[in-house]
Amino acid sequence: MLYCVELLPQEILTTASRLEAEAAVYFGESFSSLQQHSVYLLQFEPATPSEQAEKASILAAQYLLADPVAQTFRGGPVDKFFNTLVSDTAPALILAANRPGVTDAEGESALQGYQVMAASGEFELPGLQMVRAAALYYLELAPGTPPEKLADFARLYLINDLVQDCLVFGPGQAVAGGLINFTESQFNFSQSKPPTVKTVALRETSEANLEKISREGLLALNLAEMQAIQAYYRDEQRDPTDVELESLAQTWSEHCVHKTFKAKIAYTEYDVNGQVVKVSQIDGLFKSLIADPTYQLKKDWIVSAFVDNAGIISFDKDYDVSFKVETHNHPSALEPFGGANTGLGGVIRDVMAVSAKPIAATDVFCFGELDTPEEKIPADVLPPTRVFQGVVDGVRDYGNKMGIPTVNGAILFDRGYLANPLVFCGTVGLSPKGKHPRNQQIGDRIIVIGGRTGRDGIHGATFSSIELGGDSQAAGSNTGQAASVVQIGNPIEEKKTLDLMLKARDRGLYSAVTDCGAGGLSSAVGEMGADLGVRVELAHVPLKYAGLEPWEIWVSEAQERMVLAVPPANLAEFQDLCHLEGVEATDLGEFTGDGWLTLLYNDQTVGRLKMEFLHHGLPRRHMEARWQPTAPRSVARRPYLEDNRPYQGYVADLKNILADPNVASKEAVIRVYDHEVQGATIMKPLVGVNNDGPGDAAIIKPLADSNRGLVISNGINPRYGLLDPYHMAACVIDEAIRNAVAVGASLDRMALLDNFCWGNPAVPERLGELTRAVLACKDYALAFGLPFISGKDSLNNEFRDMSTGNRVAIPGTLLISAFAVLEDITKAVSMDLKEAGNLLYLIGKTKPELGGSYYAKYHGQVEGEVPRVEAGPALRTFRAIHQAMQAGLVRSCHDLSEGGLAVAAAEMAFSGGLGVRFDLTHVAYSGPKNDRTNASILFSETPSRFLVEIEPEQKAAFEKALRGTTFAQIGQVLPENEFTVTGLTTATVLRVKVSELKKAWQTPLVEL
Amino acid sequence: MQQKKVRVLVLRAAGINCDAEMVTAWEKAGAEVDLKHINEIAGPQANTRLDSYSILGVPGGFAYGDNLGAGKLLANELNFRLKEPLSRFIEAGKPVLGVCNGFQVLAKAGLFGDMTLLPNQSGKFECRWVNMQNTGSNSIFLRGIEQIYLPVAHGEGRVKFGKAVRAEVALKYCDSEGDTEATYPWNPNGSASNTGAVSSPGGTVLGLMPHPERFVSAWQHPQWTRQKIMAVEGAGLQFFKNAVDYAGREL
Repeated sequence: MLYCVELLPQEILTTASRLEAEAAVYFGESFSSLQQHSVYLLQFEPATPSEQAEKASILAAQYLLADPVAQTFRGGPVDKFFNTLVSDTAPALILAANRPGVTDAEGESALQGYQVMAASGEFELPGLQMVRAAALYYLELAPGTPPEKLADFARLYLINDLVQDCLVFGPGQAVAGGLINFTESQFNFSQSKPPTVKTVALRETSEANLEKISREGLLALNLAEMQAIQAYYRDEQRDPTDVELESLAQTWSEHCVHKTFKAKIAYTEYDVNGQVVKVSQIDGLFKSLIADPTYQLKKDWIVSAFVDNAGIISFDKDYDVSFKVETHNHPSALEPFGGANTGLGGVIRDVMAVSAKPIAATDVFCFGELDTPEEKIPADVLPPTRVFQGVVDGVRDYGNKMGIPTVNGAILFDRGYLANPLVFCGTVGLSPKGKHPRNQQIGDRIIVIGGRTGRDGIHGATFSSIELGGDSQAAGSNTGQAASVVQIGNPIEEKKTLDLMLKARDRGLYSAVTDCGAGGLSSAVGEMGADLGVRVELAHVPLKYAGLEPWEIWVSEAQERMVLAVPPANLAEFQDLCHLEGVEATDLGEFTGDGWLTLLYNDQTVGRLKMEFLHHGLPRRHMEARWQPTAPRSVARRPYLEDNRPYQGYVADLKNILADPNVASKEAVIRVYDHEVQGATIMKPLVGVNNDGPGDAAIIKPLADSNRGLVISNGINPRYGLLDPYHMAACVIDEAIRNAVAVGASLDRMALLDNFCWGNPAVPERLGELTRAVLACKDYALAFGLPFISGKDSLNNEFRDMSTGNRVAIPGTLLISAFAVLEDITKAVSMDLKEAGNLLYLIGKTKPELGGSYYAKYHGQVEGEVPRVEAGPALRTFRAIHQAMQAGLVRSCHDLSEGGLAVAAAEMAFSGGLGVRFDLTHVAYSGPKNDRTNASILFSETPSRFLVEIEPEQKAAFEKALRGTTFAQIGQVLPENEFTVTGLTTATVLRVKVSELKKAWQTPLVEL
Repeated sequence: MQQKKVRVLVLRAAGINCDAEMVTAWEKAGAEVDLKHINEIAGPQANTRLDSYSILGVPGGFAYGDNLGAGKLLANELNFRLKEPLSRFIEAGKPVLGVCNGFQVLAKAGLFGDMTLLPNQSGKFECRWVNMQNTGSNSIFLRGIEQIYLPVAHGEGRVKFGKAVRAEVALKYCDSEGDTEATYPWNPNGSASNTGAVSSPGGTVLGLMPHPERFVSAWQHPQWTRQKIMAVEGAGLQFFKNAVDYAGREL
């Protein structure tokens, strides 16, 4: 008994609509209007008399679905309704809905709302089985628009084929069988075939066959790994079940165990001529270069580094803070909204898995250039504008609905990210000390809470270890798996789970907790039971729909689930709490103490693996890494460094850099995130007299009754990596630190997170670049005394273009996130200029470092001296600035990064609504005499530098505080709308209105 | 004489996410606050009577994901699970405050008659600070407030009035000069008559899109680094103090 309700607006209100604009462009002159109406498909119990169903759907529409002030509704039995619609209306119609089995939160909510109505007893309502939400688009087009063109439009702009389905009715076209198929498939996605467990014959098979089994099953295991599995089963004298093989593939996936970062690496460094200059053996990038410095630094305020789902440091005597940053690159490339949505959802669960309340989120995105011409976009690759919009929407949806302020981030555009966008999502958590238990005991119950399990997200962990394009997408679509690796999240399910978790934590009801992320239950339960052993009944796992095979249940990465160990004595109280919060909780089995992973399906054993083998049987990889710097161009002076150009030239340079999408204002994105929910964001991402300047870092004051704060910042700059990944890594570490220092942080309690995104590490040159970057992490962690406490790598960010066969890797990208405890937030400083007449100081030495700079970019090149970090002077600068801020001497402070001094000064000026004048002759310079030019001083990107505003009365005190650093008073704050720079030959080399600079900076991303 | 503290109930449900800061605001205003899930007030697990409180606060968030329209599903629960106790509460003249999603819930439950909130005219979620001007409202929450600067963060805040409205416009969005006909971004959502807050005719029920609970301390102001901080309290606290004073005095 299938009914349909359509909602219609009472009057058309003008609302900005991206869709309508896109349709107008797509159809050109034949387009006149596009309207979108909500439609609900209601499936009543089979025996419901039609008059009852009719009545009930009207009541549901009236009380629940329609807004009585703004909407009317109509409806009826589905076939009748659409027949009327199609014959009555001239416009073309497109009916779109999520594919069967894809999360339909709207439909589920409608069903729940109906049940609340029914339970009240106010009406007599027949049983409703399911509701599916859909959208109905009315397109008024000139007659004769071919239906195929409509279908193409739908796929380009209305739906993503991987997760949504649509049905097109051309103008006046009769409703055919298509409608029945479409609507029925919306409801009948359960399969009735009995679940089966297959045995995979691999004990006696050949090497070639082992590789084939891995490839065809999307296991992403190499030959050595397959052989280790073969050897294990030879000992066991049997063949593995599919459940066991999948468990191993998930647990051993690059995504879950970071094989590259654990591998033994033979590293060879060459000079530009190809002569070997250094050969070394690296005993694991992670262990020897990232974790080791942290252990050497022995910071007593580190609560947990690398072992939990998030890094944890001590906040004050009662609370800890945790931070984790994850990537969700492959899913975001295929389905940007869902990929980013579930990416943020996943990293939030990481923080929940350390028993913390999420208090802030960060997001850093790397996309292809938005103006990439269509012909440059390979088939199977979404246009960057669509990826950008989808990713921003996905983060907005999840972050806002979870009530977590997104406070810090970055957006970069580079053609290297066209096929492989990067989506980094971070979450910061706050937890009372000593409330995160990790002591599961024999006999504790294994409880899964939150969302139900479906066929979504199967093979996400192994899929992320395979390049995009070509085989993986083709293999995926053959088996329907490409669709299943991408998912749509349901943030409210996660919010309920969070509410429950915090209550259960405070009452001490669980003995251990972890999240269900990559690898699903297999990873979560497998890890929790690694020491004790577990017995799990897979038939107990609550499913979204019937028909999942046992292995699918075990590895499904369905979202919004957590796994807890609950002592039997607490079980009843825990379940009561779940009931109150409306969270489903299911007992899957127990911790056994036998050291085995035992999987049952309806009491039949379907998998039995030694935990020892599952977690320690993976053979260690041996990999080769090579690094050779590219030969510099001729040593003749770089033409773009030529001096003594007329000042109009520098105005254009400055405006170009300010308008570069990587530098330009991100306000259009920042404002769609609720960056103030929880009321704790006391340094907001947008600062200044008009709340629109680019703040250096965010500050959260998480406790209402304490002035202690937490600074959150980041550093990222892949352009330097094109020259030397070592110095890139050093520079982005420096950038994350100086962003934090610029708002008031000290290095005394600051910790770092690393996220490496790279291409295929099996290519020795790529691994060489990666190794260089990691080497810098070690050197600078030790030099700055800053520990890494958490990190993640996402490798294989490569794309194989099917048409050309070319492999394209992303530029090696390192994101450094920093967080620091700020003792007193009232001492914090923002970057906007405060008052005319104040003095401007440049702290730190300027060197002619324009390699990889934005100035070089606008002069058509990358080459040049890559900026290098001198840790000693940098450390002195960071400390001195903190001292001066503590003493209240600093009115504003901004770090120098992309675009150097000129850009920093411009941003400070327009954020404060004031002008500046400064003199390049006063800038402390270090480098070859010939390279001391107006351009190099204005635009060099030498790290570890700050521009600081102080009141004239504080001059002596400020200079005293800076003793031991390189600094110079270079200018002052003006009341006028004027930006004036005196050049090295004492002529004015740059004069422009501050408002013009602001306009250049604000315009590029405003429409997005 | 030690006065008994005014008791406030802050309601939460799946997806409500501004509850903690609203609890803080009521506490700062001197009230005793309980934060309760709707399942603790209605249904088989209920352990709490709405009657035993003097003030009800409905905080912001995305109740039930704002599926079917912002606030709609929680409004549906108020209407079908809590109708009686809620009408008694309101008829007794006890203050009710709905902020952001809470306002959407109260509006969709029909507390203000034919009035609803639609998607923002910009087509986007908007998080920004706005100015509002008191229309001369009799709202007990707005005593002493002429103009106020508060943050908004919503995607569906565009007020639309129908025929039978049972509410008055209490605050209007305005520009920095106080012009209540200023358009976007001063009016962040395209609300009819620049409506930022509506009040029941009796002045005891207030719904507004901006968040007074996000400005109860001076350091929440976006420009505190530009100012000399004179008072550590934020202007939004006045809403909560007014209601607590009123309840302590009149109820």
